Amino acid sequence: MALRCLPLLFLYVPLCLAQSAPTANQTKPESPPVIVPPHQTDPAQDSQTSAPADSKTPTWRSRIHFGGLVVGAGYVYASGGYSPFYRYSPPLWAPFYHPGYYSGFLYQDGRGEVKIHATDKTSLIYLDGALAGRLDKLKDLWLDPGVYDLEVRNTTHRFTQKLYVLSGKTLQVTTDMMVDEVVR
Amino acid sequence: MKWTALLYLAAGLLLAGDTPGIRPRASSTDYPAHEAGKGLTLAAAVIPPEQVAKLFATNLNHGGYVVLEVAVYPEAGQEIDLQSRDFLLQIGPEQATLRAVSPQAIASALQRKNTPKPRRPGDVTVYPTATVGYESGTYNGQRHGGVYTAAGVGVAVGDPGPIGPPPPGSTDQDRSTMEQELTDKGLPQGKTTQAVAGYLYFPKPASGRHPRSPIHLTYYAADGQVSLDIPPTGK
Repeated sequence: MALRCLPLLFLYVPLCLAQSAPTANQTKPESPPVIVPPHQTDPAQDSQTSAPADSKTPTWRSRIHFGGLVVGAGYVYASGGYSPFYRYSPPLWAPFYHPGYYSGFLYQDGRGEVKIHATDKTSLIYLDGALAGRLDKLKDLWLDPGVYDLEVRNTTHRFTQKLYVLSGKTLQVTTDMMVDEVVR
Repeated sequence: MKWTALLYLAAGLLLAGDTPGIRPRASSTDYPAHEAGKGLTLAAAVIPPEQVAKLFATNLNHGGYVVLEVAVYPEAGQEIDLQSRDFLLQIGPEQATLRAVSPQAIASALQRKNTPKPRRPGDVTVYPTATVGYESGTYNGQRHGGVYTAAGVGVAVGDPGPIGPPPPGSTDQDRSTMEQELTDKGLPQGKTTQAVAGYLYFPKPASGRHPRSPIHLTYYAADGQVSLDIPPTGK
């Protein structure tokens, strides 16, 4: 899990730094406070020197950003997806993950259901070229209405088919109906 | 010059990758009906409703459509210009002639059919209620109890707004998906020199006795017409 969050962390830290950069620029013009003896203080000058002192860069901003990172990690864990580093998963450089890979293709109003049947339960499911998950983890896929390029891959075969998903309808897809391509 | 050629090649490959229609069968004789005409051979099969339900996400049976798998095999060196409007269907000996319906028209009709009628401001909705309970209490030192029942009716006037998910196949996204499916699987339109196949969609005649009636398909080509008598489906 920690390994899985590592790429997110690498992505997130530069973003946090980029976000905090403008605030640093805003506070840059401040000059060092001038210490004046109490008997020489001028009310006008006093107000000028006290203003920058009040607008010092608050330190709480970075804490909020890191809190967001914790929330993001929890979200990934709650999705029920499996670790992409496990032996059946693609390597780190896999190009894309389908958004549903993290959300679990859950039921929502206005979505259609897709049930995929294949003999090899360890086959990987791809939607529009992006990894959606492993077949045994995706018993029911709920997708928004639309056209998708479905791909079921295992070590020896690559099955492809176009999916036409309609809201409130269930599509039963078997690999017998799909275009079969022998990988090796 | 090289770059232009490469660009055209890439565009051609992209376009060629996703052609509409379905793969034609190996030979025209693989279809239940086939007929040779001038410069081409026409072949067709009626798709039974139960198979239509498996082949299409779009509910064509509910919409009342007859689906035909049509293949055209041009002779070598012949170019033909295919248009779905050139096909006419006749079901039964005395039925009117039917023209193929476009995917756009079918998708719009099905969406309209699936969409519930909008409520008017003056509409009244009635909600009946029923209650069954048990009560008990002590009276003069004795415990008494019994079942009680109640019934009532709630009445609401006006539009309650959308309740629950939209009915299946009723959204605009559904319409465009149905249209794309029917277009993708439909008989390719335009000029071709190679064998092509795809589905044509015809409205069911009003009598609705189509499966057992003989089906007569006519293709009006530029050089004449080709007619086919397609045997009815088993059911």
